[in-house]
Amino acid sequence: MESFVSDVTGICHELLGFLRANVLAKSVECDENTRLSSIGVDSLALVEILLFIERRFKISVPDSHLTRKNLETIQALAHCVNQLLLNKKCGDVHSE
Amino acid sequence: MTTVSVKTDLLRLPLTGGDYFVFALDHHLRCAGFQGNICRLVLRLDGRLNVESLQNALHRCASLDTLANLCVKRRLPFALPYWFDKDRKSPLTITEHRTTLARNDAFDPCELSAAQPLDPRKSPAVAFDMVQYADEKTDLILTWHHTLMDARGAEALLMQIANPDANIALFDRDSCPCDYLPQNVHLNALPKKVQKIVFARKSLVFIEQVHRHPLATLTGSNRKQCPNEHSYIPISFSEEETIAIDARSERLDARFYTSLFILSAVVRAFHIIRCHRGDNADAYVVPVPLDVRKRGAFGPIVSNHVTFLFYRIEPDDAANMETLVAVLKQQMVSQLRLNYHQAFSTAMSMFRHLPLGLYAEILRRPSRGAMASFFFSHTGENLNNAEEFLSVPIADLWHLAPVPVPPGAAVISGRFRKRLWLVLSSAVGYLTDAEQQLFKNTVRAELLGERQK
Repeated sequence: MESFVSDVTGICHELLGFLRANVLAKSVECDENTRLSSIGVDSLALVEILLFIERRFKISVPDSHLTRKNLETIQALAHCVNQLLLNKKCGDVHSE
Repeated sequence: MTTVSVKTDLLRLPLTGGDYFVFALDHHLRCAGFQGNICRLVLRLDGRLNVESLQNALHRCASLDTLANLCVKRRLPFALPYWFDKDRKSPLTITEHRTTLARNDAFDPCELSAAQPLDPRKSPAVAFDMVQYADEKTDLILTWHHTLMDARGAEALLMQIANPDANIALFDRDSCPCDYLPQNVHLNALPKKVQKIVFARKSLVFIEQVHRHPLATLTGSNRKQCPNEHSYIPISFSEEETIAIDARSERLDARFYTSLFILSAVVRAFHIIRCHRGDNADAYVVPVPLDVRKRGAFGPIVSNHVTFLFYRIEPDDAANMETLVAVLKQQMVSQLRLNYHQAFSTAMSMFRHLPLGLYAEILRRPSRGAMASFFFSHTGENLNNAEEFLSVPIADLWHLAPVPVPPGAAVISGRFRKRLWLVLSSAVGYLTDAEQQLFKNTVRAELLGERQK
């Protein structure tokens, strides 16, 4: 459980870094619990974040995971990414 | 943040690639006999706004003086064009039109356009019109030359006028990048200028591919002798209808692709019109602007902070909404994944050195003059969903786009206070009244998921 939490924290950190550097204006303050819609993150910005996840973590977020809940905050998105990474890891172990 | 608002700093601030791109479209429009790339924002107010109230608000808005003085200059051939502050007070016009009619849903601003030949080479490139109706309602119309600002900039300007303490930046190039380097390790050893050329070329090759001849337009091969005017058809949705539209977009897996969902309905409408004409063989090509402003802040006001995505839709893919949404989604994600939007932004930035006529010719060349099947733009959430303008309640907000022939049609959409709206602009004479009605009915039916009667 400990490693699960720390992974989510790391993913949050990376997603926030990308968001601050590439998506948000400098004056905008946000943390992992900020509602993305309240800081102007629109559909295009979300696609950019999803493409960053694809590049950085080598996973794609399937349409079934693009729920309102998963895209509400960076924290929720990080949990979703972490779950997908765990699933991928399990899949890799089984295929070995 | 490097916010430029002092007049001395403003001198010789280069146009963005987006500014010069829309300036080239202005050249194309003027060559076709139209007034130029002139945009309008219509605020339909549910009450009377007096000229004096607007005048007082304009006097309080310091940045408006600078805005009214800006004009485009180029010192030498092939040098970068730049904004020049004439530093001479230019008269900013407010024209009042009084009518004995009550306001209804119809809107015909054609007569306004005849009175305002705005040219960014001669300031001011902004003007106001007010239409006073007999039933104590007012339409406020902000008219501006597209080179000066984009739709988001125009909304920021209105917000600044309504609230002088908002301090929305006039310029802020840091928040709107337009020049990118390729993310390609193999190119890192090359000088930055060469990297940019290679990157820009990538987008141009792609555009040549997308625009390959023939492409569908409403004008077809017969270019009629028509008055060079536009007609506008607004399509408004209630809050309940907008909720139903969102639910349908979710069912079609397009909840995060709002603009693509609307574009799909628009393509369907044009496709049905062309099918009725017995001419449905060619592919649809649509350039769609992408706002590159950083999110979360309103502004800056001046300049076009956009790049473009280019969609090509084969007629078979226009057969139903499900296929269209899937095809457009796939094209959007693949272009973003390959950074074509950044590559095109870099190309636009480089093209600023070209003379306007040559640039316009380059834009027309891949499609042999057509440029697109139609233009489309989704402006997102409008005016921060403001309830009032200068203490008068706002009923509706529309953006009106100019359109050259070819392609002869443009659609602009947005969402104001939870209500979706679209406006079809078409060159007078290229869509019959029955076709305009068919367009309206099809867009409504496709967005709401209703079967057409």
